[in-house]
Amino acid sequence: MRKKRVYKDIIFLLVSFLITTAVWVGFEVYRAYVKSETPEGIERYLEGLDPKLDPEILTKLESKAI
Amino acid sequence: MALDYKTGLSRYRRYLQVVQEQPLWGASLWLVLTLILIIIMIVVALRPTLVTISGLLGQKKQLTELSDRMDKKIAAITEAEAAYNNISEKLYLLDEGLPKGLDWASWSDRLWDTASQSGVALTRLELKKMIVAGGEITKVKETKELPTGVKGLNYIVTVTGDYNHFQEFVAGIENMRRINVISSVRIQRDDKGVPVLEVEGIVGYYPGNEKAV
Repeated sequence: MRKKRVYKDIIFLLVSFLITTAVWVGFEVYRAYVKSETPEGIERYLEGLDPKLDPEILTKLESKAI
Repeated sequence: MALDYKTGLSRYRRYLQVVQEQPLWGASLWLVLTLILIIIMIVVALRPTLVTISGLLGQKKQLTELSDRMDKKIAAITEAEAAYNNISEKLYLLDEGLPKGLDWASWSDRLWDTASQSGVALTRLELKKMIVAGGEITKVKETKELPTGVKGLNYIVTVTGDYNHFQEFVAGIENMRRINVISSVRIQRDDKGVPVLEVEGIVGYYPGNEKAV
């Protein structure tokens, strides 16, 4: 009975350790997936650019005195 | 044959009895070893493989997003280039309306010309809170009346003449290409009874080498 008890405890510990290991590996995998590795300084080149120009303003300026 | 059958059955029964007495030793030992092996395999083999695969997948996703954003930026630049080419002949107007740097000399010249054309005599031009050191303007106050990114310099100009010419002079200032906000206009007479017009305003410029204070 004593040996049976010892084995039960060992198996319980091993199963707990296995679950912990699986969770740890899961977090490691998730972290590796979401970890940002974009080249440094590239955001500067990706800033939005509004390509629309209003030619009316130039027409109004042209009509004014120098 | 019947004897062999009974002999075999009795042997098997004995075997089961022995196994039944001590099943835990064998079964538990294999279970423990299997669990240990699984844990070792997860830590040593599975983890690095999965981390590498997910890392590569994440990197691929990020690079795809970057590529999409880059494509959009390139498309916007191409569109902007086309728009720029359409108006490139008129871009000098922007430099006149909003020069880089204060360029107060050409502005004051233009003010002087406007006064002459309006028939008034310019008697005083005051540029407020501007420090000129070695010919270079070093400090200019920022203003809230102008759009974001545009700085301004407060000025006061005083002219003498008659009322009709005052109106023409103010209209001339308003009609300048240079960005110009008139904040106040005062008409009064001096000690000799001559009408005096005082115009206070802000002239705008795009920040160059000046330092805002």
